[in-house]
Amino acid sequence: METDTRTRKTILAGAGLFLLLIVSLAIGLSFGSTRISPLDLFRGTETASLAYDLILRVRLPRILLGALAGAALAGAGVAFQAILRNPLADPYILGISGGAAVGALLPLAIVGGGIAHWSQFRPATAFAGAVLATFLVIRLAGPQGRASGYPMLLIGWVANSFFFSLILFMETVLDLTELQGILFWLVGSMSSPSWAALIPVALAVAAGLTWLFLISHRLNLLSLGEEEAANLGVRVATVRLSGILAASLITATVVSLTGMIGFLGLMVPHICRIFLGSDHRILLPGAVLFGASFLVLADTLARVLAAPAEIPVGVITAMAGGPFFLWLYRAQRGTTRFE
Amino acid sequence: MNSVIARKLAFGYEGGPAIFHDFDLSIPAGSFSILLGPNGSGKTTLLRILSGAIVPAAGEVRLFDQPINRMPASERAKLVAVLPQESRVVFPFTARQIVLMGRAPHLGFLGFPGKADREIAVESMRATDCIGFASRRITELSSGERQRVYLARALAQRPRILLLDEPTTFLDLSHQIRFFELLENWHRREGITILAVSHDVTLAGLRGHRLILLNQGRVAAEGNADQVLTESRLQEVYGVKVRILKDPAGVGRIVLPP
Repeated sequence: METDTRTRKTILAGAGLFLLLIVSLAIGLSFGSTRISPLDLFRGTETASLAYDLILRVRLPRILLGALAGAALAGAGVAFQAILRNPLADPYILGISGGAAVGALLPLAIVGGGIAHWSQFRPATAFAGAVLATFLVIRLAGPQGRASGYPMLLIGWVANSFFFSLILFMETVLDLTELQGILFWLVGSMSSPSWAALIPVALAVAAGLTWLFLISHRLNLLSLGEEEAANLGVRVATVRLSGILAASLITATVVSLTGMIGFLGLMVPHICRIFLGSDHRILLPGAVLFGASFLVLADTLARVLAAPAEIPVGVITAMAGGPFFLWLYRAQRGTTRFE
Repeated sequence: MNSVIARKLAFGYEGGPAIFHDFDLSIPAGSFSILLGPNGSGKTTLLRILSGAIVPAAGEVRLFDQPINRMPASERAKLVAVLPQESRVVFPFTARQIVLMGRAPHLGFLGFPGKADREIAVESMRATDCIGFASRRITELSSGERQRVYLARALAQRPRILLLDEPTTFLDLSHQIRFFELLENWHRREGITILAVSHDVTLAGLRGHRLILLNQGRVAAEGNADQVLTESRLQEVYGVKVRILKDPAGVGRIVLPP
């Protein structure tokens, strides 16, 4: 009986999250620095063509990018938290986004600006950067279960500072005019991508999230500790490595288009855990839906709050995420045996 | 027939001294053995080698005559369950979710438990008396309750061998005894092989189990309580003089401090 009410609650929560995403997308499409709503598409001919250009060519790709990025960062957050057994893990906090950003910039820095086709390799080098950063943090923090708590966060923080300074170094020394401003990489902000740029991102994010979903029940076991997971029949090395690669892939793909959007991968999984519980088979899809809605709404705020100027969306997520992190840190100390 | 055979094991942790050298052990199928020994005698390490968690530098472990290192993880998990001394759960799973994880080695690729798996989980929780808090979070339970949940998980795993690492360390006297009774019931019912590490020589000496006394990486003695728990041997192994009484109610031995 109890499992029945639980299943019903889960279905209800899923439906609610789906509805939230639809509403967020609608809100994102309706608001912006220009006062034009999707309804204008159906008005007189002149407004209709303007609305068509603005909404379908500018707003829609950007909103879809926001949804993809939010979904990816939330999913990566869930995966990293489980694999590293660290409730405070997040691609940004651990320095993985930073590694991806450096990776994304490196080809430009080496070859120099002006060679347009180098930007095609950006996601690939960002992926390499993210994977390297992940293994660096894991390597320095020691095997799981030993220094996986606060020392890992400290190492992530150091890695982040290092990557930040590398980015600033590349910007100033190499004088890259092709970079869209340093703020883009350091704080994370969005622009309207072309459809051609959006499709590979969508494919990579879909592939990574699908894999994470397929291994989500093994993430449950892995989150108990590697030895316990092995005793319950998990091929730990395979699951761990494939999970890290998938989470790094989606993080890097997103970072190469939006820069480092922080704290979303921390906040969203935690809020979802409160309502959906810890089972990763439910938590992961829930966090993906909620993360997508969250970033679309945050980006709408970023576009509207100071219109016609635009606040980088990473500023919005960090303004919410910083205090959230501190609250969580306190809560963790109080309740669990997290060291 | 032996359910566990360790042959010519050699092992030492990286950078540390050798713990085992040419170590042999066989555990009869269906026996209930208690592994005793002073701190640092290699009890936990031995358990981890027998469960396949660590790979010995030399020698081999066979479970029901199959070499453990050639078993896929899921096959191994169907054969042997491990009850950790204390599990360090980071995320607040419910007790039911934890118990259902015991079914993991029996599930398909996506790991969705079927009706039969859920029934086994409920049955296991009934057997260990934790059905009453099935929906509570594991992080909120007391040590005694938590240990019953983990025992239910091991039950749900339906293993043929159960390894326990000081399972009663964090339990008070009544929970310690009840925990052993649960184990003994299970052992009688299913005929599984149980090997439990314990520090409690008194409890070990009174419940009629097979004892294995480990000292400095060697088996100092094995057999019944009256064969293993002798004053001279305990003094040799633990370096402290003890008195040993015969259990007036049975064949056990009572170890008394000097």
